[in-house]
Amino acid sequence: MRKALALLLALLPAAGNAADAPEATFALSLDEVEITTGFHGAELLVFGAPTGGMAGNYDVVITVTGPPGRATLRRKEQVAGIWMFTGEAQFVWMPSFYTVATTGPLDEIVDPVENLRHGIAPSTYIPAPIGLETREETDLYFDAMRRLTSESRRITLEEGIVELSQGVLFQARIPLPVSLVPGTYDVRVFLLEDGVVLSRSDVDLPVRKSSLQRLIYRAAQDYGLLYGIAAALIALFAGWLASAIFSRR
Amino acid sequence: MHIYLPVAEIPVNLFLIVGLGAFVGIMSGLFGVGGGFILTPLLFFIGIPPAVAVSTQAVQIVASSCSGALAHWRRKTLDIRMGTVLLIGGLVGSTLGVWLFAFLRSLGQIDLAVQLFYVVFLGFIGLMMFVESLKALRGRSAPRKRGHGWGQGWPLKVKFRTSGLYISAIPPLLVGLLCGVLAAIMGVGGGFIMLPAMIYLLKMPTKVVVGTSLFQITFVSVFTTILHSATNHTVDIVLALLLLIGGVVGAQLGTRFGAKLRGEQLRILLSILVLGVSAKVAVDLVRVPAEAFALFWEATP
Repeated sequence: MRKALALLLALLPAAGNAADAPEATFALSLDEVEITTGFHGAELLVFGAPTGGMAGNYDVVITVTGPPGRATLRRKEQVAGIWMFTGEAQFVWMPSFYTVATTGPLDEIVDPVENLRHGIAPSTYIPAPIGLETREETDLYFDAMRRLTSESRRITLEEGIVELSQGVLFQARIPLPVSLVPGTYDVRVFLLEDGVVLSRSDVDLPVRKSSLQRLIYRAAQDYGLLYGIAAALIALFAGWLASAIFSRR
Repeated sequence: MHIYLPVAEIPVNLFLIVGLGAFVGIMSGLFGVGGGFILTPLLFFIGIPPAVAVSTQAVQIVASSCSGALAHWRRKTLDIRMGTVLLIGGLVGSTLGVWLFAFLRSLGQIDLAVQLFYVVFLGFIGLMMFVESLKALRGRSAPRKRGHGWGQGWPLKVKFRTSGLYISAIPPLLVGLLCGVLAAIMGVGGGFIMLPAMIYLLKMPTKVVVGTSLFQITFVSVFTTILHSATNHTVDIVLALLLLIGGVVGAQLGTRFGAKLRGEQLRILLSILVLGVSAKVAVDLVRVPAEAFALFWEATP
């Protein structure tokens, strides 16, 4: 880590001569996230500095966006004393994961227009629900989606977790939850000053399953019948084995 | 210690799952039920996606009932012929049940249907068993008259030697069929329905009932496992392995312990368990849920 930072700093002056619009140069602690048998979430360290390494009154916003998917939200209501699903709505093309890490309160460090232009705020990543009739219902479902995605850590706002030291070096430890969907994640760093975005840079972060995890998953998907027969045979064998061991005593 | 499940796509605590398997295995060996009616709700509770829970518990049930059935076979308390007749009915029934399940799902209220089935069938059977075994325990009921079950004057008479019965094969076929249908819809093995049916309808002797039911459940669950895996692709082999390590050992312990208890005592314990699960599901249906919305996620390929 230290070495990487030192190396990065050594490279900085060379990279940033045209310094009228400084960009953020940054690196990640992980080249990729591998979902192994022991996987239970990860922590991504993002660190860097503005090119040129000149101290300034900067703010930094880091976002991580997961591959898109389709979400269905179902609502329960009481009918004749029993709680049952009475309605549902689709949210199409929503990221499976989105997090915003900042140096301070998002509203204070990003101008509202800039926020909209660059699509930073978490709520901009929740599309309008499809399949509802009234405005009230739409609002209700939208709020529920915001609540549920935040509770399940799918879409989060982590204000103040980006540390900026000496006005130059920034670093953030971004928690990646266990619910990560495999795919290509986009890590984006915004460098801001007085609420205005000075620059924006992206890097890809692949998330993939380990070969064993992928093998089992593919077997269940592509060879369901054989997989089922194998599972049943293993179970029968285990039952016989336990019975044989116990009867000998 | 956590382990990531490849099909369920969530991590689980290793010891929790093995412990859960052992608990259900003990129930299985003790009462002659597969234990699906306890295991399935428990798996939901710890956050396993319902589709994965329903199909994976079938694998665990194969292992624990096979282990239990073999123990009974050694002690000669398994009526293979009766078990085979029940099994034929069960296979036909579960095929019908899977079809009915798909039909109910197309109507959009499968969750509710499953929960209502749990409340109604578990409640009814639990209550019936409880009342009967309580009477028997107090010694107030006359000893059950043997040989007056269903199918005395029906055709297709078969001699079930281990059970000491000479009755038509049609009633056991029907019992197997009914259990198969319910089992497929509720995602269970069907033992808790079959046990009372064998005792009260077929008048089988209590000591062969458990082993025979386990025999039938083993093979019905093999069938369900393969069917689920081939159609829904939701069997998680890692979860199944963890469950069955605990399950097979538990089943052996349960069978041993069960041999020391009287039939009435076993039945009253089982009935309390069944009533408990039924009450839990009923309460969940009427209680205000903590969260009125549920989120279902699909990745776009």
